[in-house]
Amino acid sequence: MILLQEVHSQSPTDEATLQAMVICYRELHRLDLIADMYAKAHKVKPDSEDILTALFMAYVRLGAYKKQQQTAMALHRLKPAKNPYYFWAVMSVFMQAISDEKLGPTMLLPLAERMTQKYVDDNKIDAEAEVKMYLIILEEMQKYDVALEVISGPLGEKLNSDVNFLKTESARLLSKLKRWPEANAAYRKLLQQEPDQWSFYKEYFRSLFRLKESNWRPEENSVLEDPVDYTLEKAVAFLEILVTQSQSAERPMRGPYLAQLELVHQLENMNLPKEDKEILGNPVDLFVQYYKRFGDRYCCFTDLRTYLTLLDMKQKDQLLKQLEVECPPALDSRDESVTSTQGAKALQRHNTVVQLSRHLGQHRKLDHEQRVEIIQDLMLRYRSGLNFGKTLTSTEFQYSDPYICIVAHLLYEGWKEIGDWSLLWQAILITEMALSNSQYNFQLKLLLIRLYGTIGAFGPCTDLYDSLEIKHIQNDALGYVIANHVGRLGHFNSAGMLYDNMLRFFTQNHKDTTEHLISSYKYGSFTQVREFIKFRERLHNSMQYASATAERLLLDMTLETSNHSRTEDILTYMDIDPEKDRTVWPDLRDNRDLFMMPSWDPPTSTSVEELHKKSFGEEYPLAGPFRTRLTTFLSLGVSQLFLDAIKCVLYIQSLHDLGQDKTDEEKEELMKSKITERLSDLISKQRGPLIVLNENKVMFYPDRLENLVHLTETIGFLTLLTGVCHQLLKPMKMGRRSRKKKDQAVAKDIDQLQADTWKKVWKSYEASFKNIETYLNQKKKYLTTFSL
Amino acid sequence: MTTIRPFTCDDMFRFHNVNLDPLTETYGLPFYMQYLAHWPEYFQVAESPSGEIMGYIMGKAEGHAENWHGHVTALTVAPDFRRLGLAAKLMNILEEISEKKHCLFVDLFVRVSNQVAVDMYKRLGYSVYRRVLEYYSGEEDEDAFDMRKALSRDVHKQSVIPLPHPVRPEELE
Repeated sequence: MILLQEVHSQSPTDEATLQAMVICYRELHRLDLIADMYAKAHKVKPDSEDILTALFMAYVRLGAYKKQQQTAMALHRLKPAKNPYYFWAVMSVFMQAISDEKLGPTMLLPLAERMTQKYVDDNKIDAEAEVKMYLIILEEMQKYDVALEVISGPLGEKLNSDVNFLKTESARLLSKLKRWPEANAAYRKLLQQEPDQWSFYKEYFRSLFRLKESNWRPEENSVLEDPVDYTLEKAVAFLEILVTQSQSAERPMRGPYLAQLELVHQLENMNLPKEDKEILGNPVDLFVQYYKRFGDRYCCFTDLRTYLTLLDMKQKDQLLKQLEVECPPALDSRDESVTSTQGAKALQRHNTVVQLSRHLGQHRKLDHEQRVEIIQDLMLRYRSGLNFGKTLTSTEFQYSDPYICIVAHLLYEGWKEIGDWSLLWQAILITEMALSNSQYNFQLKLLLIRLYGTIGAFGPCTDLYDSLEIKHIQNDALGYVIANHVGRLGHFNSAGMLYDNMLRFFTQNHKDTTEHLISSYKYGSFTQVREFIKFRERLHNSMQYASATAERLLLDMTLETSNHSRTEDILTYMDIDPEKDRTVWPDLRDNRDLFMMPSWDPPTSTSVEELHKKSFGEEYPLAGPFRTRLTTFLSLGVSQLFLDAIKCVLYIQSLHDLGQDKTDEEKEELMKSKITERLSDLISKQRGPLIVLNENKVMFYPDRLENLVHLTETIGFLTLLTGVCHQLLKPMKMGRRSRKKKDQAVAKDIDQLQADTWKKVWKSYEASFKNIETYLNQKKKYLTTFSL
Repeated sequence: MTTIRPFTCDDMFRFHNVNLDPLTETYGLPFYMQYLAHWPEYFQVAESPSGEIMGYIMGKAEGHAENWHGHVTALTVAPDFRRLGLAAKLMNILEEISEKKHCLFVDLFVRVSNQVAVDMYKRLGYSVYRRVLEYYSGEEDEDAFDMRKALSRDVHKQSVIPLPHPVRPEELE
């Protein structure tokens, strides 16, 4: 650093030195010094294009938009013929505009517009990027009419990178301008070319309804250039044409069929007469038609799911009955005349029916015996289906895997309903078995992580998670899958490693994203500039990042401390100061990908968006995220104990500061409340085995483990607090409790899989205890360092 | 039904039902961002009506003179959205963009063991141009097929005449 400072002060200008220093400053996170260095170099060599360019990029790294603008203009003056420099300045003004609520709309956006307009008027625009820049500005100013003019004129011809850009963009602008007849005609035309593009249907329907509302009619005797659909009848006829065309296509498209359902769906929510709402007839027929055509595709269920709300009770029954008729019988996998493709298709058709009927609530009405009956049927079909998948490569999923997911859900529900842990155990065994037949099926792995977590066994989750090869951004989006369990179940060492991996990703990301901001300017991808900045913020404000940071600190505080002076060192090093905390709590973003695990539950409990909200309120079906530790922490009663301990420490601190004779009766009482006894009471309540095996019935008590971990951590924190008191008031006496229990359950060697699975669970529990034991032993030593 | 639209950074938070597939690589952020910054038109995503990411394609244009071509860097479709013709559609877009850029051909690399993909590319008009030895590193290194399809500018389909001998990765230009 001293060497750097010395070189820096000499304002070097040669490229090699400058570049070496950029690398150093980047590593040191001193992006400000890179800018300063190039600013100095620029003063020495004001005519160097390279140095000025580098200075511009240095300001991009810092997000100093105003300085970016000035530097870009300096470059423009230096090289007036190079358009990109001028547009760097325009983009820099634009960035100032969108980050300044006051001056943005009144001054800065108009400035950016004028700057570009000038080049347009002078016929100096030559690149696609420059036209796009102009469109970005116009869009922000909501000058859609000007934008439409631009793309319809000679400048539009420069926009040729994207397929179909002009047509789709002008349709979009017509919609924005509420020029509904033209918008409708434009989307209608686009749909004829691309009858599968969902975004076109949405806009087509929007324009249709606006036209219908306003009773729009073409002027008499006028000839429409392109047809406009302004009545429901016309729209229905148009969809009919698309359906017919699709039928004769080589591969039928889902678009036109789903569009019919979408139309009914939209009509449903409108204030319209009955005959309008029923213009497409009984929706059941549309479902059946769709099933007939696409029932063998995996996405058939998700395609139809949204629309099932259209059906009343009677129609639901009607649909279920018809699906039963339409569903082909299971093909015999031993019959050699049946090809595996035929078998797989028939299997998926049945599977779709199972998924749909589950969504329609059929699995809700089951008593235990009926549930077992369904499970047995599905398992039979699963096994038979494996034969059709014999030729699949190892990376492909088995055709019959979807059955296992449903079976696991059924068993999980059974467990929740009647509290029989054997059902949950069976769910684990069946899913493990399926995974051994389909080793890359990540759905099965995600299910298993969830199920093992439920019985309190974290060990197998690590392997499953590792086998998913979670890396890079998945640390953020998918980290929650195991981060919820690792600390809760006392695998402190694994927790440390997990958080370290996550944090490494997050700290690296700032550097990475910044460098690509620079590329966006270089290539003139101005849309990406704004997007990259937003993306960087979203990662930076990740909830997972914030929680991993906090969890890591808490772990260090208790795992790495063996005496008070070490604790002091660590705390000094951590430099935790609530006043300096830069986390902007209201800006924290939830970046979890909750769409990975499919759910076929009836709508009351399934919408992932809803689960998303509920995950903060501790609701947790199998396909949703696991609850946090907060509930158990609060219900255990350990929080009050911890608060009391802190009150005691603060009281002792005040005695220490004010002199010991000023006592407070209430606080003195609290001091006598025997925190250690309360703690040991809590601990003794958790005494008991984790697994009990009784006549082939298994019982798990994962809550005991989780509570024990809470208590262990509490002991850790109390030890630290005790250290503080000890420091303040020597000598002083304090007790300490330790816990531990061994549990017994012997796995019966029913078969290898069962035995292996037992072993994994067993080892996981052992690891939990080993971790807890090490933790407590260390704290025991900590306490002996107090000289009493 | 599908919406095909440009890939955005935010899609990286939601594309995991696609990326957890064992043959789909999850790259570091710089890799995706480099493509977004340089070849945004070549990075397209398919989204289902319910908002799930169904698959995506990522590519670029590169090379000089008679080697100026479109390249498929990644093409992937989530297991639930296969057998809908999505891969073909995404490839079609990439080829169209490459035509607009006056490329001579489109090429791609695929594991020789990935029979499903090789067959699909063959159906789409691609043929093996050469074999690249130990192109994929891993526990066991694996060869790649460099597959090509000539575009309209290459009238005599010069670019796809197969090489008689395999090449090593370092010999690739």
